[in-house]
Amino acid sequence: MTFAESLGLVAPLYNLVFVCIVLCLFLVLFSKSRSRSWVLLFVAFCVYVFEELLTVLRKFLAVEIPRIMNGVLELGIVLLLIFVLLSEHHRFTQNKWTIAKMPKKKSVLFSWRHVIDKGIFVVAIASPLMTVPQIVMIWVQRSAAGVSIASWGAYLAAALFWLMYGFVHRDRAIIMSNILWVVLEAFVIAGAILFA
Amino acid sequence: MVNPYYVEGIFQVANLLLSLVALGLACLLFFRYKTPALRPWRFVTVGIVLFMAVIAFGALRSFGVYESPYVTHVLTGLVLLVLMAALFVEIRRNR
Repeated sequence: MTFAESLGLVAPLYNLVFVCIVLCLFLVLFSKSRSRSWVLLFVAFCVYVFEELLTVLRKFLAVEIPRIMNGVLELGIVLLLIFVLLSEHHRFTQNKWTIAKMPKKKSVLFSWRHVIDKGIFVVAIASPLMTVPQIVMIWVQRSAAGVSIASWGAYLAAALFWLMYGFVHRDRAIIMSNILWVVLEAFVIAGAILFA
Repeated sequence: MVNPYYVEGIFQVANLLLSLVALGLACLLFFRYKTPALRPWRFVTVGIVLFMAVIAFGALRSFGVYESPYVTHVLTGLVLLVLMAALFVEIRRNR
């Protein structure tokens, strides 16, 4: 047995010990203080452990768990990390993470601005989801005829730039929309590359 | 039926791009605010970089480009070590 193979066999065991130590350290930290960022980091850690557990179950006990679960869980971890870092930014700037920096007007029963401000969240989620039929066509029919990698690559680059813009300007609608765009456009591009 | 490894791989590519955004945010945090309160978050940033490497190796494995029997396990161990260091520093800071 080579060194790499033996390391691969032993690694899950010492990782289990590390997980127990990290868990204890989190408990010690929460007994002293319970800041929101560290609680969120703890949630991300729990998701990570759950993902590793799924891998172990699949590998050693041959349990049938869809592979997509790993990707979804990792997406959850990354989004939590982004949220934690934004919370830290917020803690230092002490600014409210609002929809847009506009002066508040006196409250009225019905305002078009309020409707548009709320409605944009529906549009921000619904419009990237319109790409799903395209993804289904590519992946189910295993054909990317008529799909331009250059165009979708440019869309992906633009979505990443919009995402950075959303973070810099703290616009939740732009952030939510472009996180969805990045994930869905990655599916289209990968399908276009694989089934071209 | 689509190969489930491919779907996992695409998710990992998307996750890799999003973790790049997380890394950018972490760097922005350090360059903008130089305070001891951020010391544990330096370790968390190293953890993000290692986590990105785990995702990248996972994506390569999913697409059948490269597979190693130990790299992902070792990287996971390193992520946990870095997280331990961050927690140690934060606990000491709160003492």
